[in-house]
Amino acid sequence: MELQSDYKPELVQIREIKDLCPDVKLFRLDHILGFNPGQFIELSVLGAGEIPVVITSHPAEDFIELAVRKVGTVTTALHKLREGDVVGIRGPFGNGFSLPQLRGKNLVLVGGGLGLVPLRPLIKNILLHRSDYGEIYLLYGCRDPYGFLFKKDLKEWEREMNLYQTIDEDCPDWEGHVGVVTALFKKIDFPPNNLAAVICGPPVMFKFVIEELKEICVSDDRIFMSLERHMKCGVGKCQHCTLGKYYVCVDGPVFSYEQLRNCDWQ
Amino acid sequence: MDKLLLPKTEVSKLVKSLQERFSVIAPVERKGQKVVFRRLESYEEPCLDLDYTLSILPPQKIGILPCWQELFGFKVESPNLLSETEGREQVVLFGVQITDLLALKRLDKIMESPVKDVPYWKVRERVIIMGVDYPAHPKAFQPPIEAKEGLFDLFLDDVGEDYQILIGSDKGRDVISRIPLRRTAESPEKGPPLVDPILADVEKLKSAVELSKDSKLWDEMAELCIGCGICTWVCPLCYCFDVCDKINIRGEGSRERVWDSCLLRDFARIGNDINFRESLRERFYNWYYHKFVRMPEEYGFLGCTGCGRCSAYCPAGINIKKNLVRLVKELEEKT
Repeated sequence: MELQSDYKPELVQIREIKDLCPDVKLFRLDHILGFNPGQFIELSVLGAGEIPVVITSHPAEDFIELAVRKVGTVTTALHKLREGDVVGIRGPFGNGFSLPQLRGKNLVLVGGGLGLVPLRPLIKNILLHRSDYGEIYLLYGCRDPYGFLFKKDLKEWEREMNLYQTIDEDCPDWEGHVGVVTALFKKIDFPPNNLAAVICGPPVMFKFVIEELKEICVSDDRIFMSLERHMKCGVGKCQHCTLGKYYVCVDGPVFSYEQLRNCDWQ
Repeated sequence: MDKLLLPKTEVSKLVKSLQERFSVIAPVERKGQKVVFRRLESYEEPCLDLDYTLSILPPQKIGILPCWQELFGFKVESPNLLSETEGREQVVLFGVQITDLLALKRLDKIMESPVKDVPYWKVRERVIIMGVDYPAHPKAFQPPIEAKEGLFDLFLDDVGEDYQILIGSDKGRDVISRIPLRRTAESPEKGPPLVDPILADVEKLKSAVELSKDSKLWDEMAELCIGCGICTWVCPLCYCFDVCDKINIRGEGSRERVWDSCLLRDFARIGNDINFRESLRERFYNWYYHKFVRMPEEYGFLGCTGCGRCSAYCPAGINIKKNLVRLVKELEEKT
């Protein structure tokens, strides 16, 4: 079939809206979509515009979930919507995570802030086939204790993997680890070999996490990162998300560190 | 086969007869200085003066990929998309110069693969392309062009007193079939086109831009740039776009594609005020990188056809050809 795009969204209803943390809401949409964890959609609020959003639900579910922070025009308009209101979606777009490259390995999953959003469907997928993977470490850092997303999921996942949480600065409501997410690496005794890593989070975090991963000898082709760019069109035309030879919307948003070595990706 | 000739004095008659069947977009003189392409009124004649000055915008950015293009209409209350109004007119894009024809051919390819851009083709399919042979602009540096016939539906080739009509497609043949033309068996005299070698070697330019990323040359070249984006607006192969919603007081809206420019500060900015190409040098380099590295990589051709507009209209006087020559020279010195 010829690939084509008319940029028209499909209209779907919001089934449920939940507050995840201050400024972040979870929108559950009445729509079944085949996709790969790590892929994104273009989300429309008609009259406000369109933005790329990574899907945070699992493909097997009969809805799609999006966790969106209120930062700009479209997200502000989205936050004003109520259950039953209609939004538009296009996609899915991009590559998503490559499970064959993670299978059989000990996994280091690093999430910062909203970085847990793309990791969630990946983790759900991994847990469906838990025995296919070795040890799993989830390192999850937030600015403060109120920023942690999906607390119920975290409780469940903790039974099947090593979960480490940290907040950037001390806070009376928090009894756990304090410090940036990279500080956690020193506390963990990782297996000496067969490691693969996935990093999702704010751009500033990547460089420091990669340094830590090098310390524990994760090779460049086994470090995967989900990058954030302004993917406007989703089909490799508009040039907003270009990264050297790559289009983040088509060739990404997930890249191995090896792929990006010669790009100004930071 | 007989050659078809149209005396230059008959061009306005040709245009008149085209206007009976089509909407015609053609070059007109504006304030005696610059030529602009726009829809001709019924009483107007195109300006095909031999003292042709390069049109500010390439004709395809008037007739095919305009500044604002509606992707679809919608209603905000009880949201739904509006169905399209079909049956738009056929348009003749008249008087397109050769480097713009080449650029349009490439733009077609970009909008066709790997993903077909449906809104582009909805317009493009209704446009008949008529090229005209003009004298080259002083800032132009036309590459050698093979298979010129694939670039147009019709072309008026300058052969002295007459234009020889070249037919590039069935659509073109059909358009011209109703127009009385002189036939001749003689081969009209026609010298070879003036070409410049700088754009001929795609691989060399690609290396020159790709391998010079950290060169001081880019600091020097970008230092002149004021980041206004004019080079991108006037370029026939710049097609970066943004997407915006417009709404009116009745709650009806449209989603529109609007030109954007990678030279502008916010082009690679995302929420939380993170900007992936904060410095003008990065944006300046990226403009060249797209044209001379990414596009050849993706499609096998350059994003420049040497029309010379970016140099002619740059308020800072940046000359793209001179920059390319400098980059190639540096590459040759290194290797």
